[in-house]
Amino acid sequence: MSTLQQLQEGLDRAWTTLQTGWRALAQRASQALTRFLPGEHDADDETRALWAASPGWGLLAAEIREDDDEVCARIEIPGLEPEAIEIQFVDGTLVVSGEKRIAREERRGRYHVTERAYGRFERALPLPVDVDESRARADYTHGVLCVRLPRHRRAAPRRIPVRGG
Amino acid sequence: MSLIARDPWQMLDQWRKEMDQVLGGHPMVRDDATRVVGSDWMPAVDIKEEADRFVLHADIPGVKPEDIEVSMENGVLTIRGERRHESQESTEGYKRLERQHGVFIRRFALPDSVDPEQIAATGKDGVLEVALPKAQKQQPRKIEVKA
Repeated sequence: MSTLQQLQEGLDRAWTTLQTGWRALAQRASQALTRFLPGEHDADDETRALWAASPGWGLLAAEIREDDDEVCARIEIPGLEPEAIEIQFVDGTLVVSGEKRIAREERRGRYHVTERAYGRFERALPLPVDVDESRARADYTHGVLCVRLPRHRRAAPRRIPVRGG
Repeated sequence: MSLIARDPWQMLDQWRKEMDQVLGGHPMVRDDATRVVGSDWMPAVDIKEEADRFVLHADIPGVKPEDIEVSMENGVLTIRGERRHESQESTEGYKRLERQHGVFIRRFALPDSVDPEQIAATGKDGVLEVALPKAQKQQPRKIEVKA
């Protein structure tokens, strides 16, 4: 094999690796990437300035785990009051929404770094199996929302005998 | 022709320093050392300057406050820790995995006005708050010129 061919092959391989890696990264990040829209209520000047400076997009990384009894969804949403989180079920999809508010502080100041996103958000997570949403439980610990959904108890499959004529 | 600088490199250096001041803005923004130390993920932070202190907020969901280490050395504030999996569950059964686990580290060079003895950190709902009070302004010392 000539040097040129080897080089060509090496480049092809590098390109494929890069493509695969990029696709994996894009898939992983783009689903978690969530739009944050400015909230609606009584914003003062400082709050508005922070909305303008903050990214407008935030990563709400989620994981869904399934075992024989239940489906467990965990979503990272730091800095919320538990009451400010809304959980809904729409056609087999778990929809989590809420608003990340800016802590109202008496003291005025100037932001040097703004990387955190603020405002209203909504994240929809399709669930892998049928669940009994009426028995769902949710808790919020260290900024991680955990929703546990018991699987639907299905009746044991009934055998239907086929009779000959 | 005396307007032409004799040492263009010196000029370039000067220009770079000025650009650094404009772009770098604030000394706390610089955290270039973070990338050198292995960090699996990086928490997003806000840094606010108030009249008598700086306040840093970092989003660190899924890490207990007692597992976050905040330290101060040579004018550099370091926040580090590790996000572990919630329980000893097996890795099987995952249908979606976007969360990143592992070590995180962020560093910030602090302005001289921060009093390192007074730094305090608290954690709540996955948000770390570090309060960095400014030192009392030192009185400028007058040095008398003796005849």
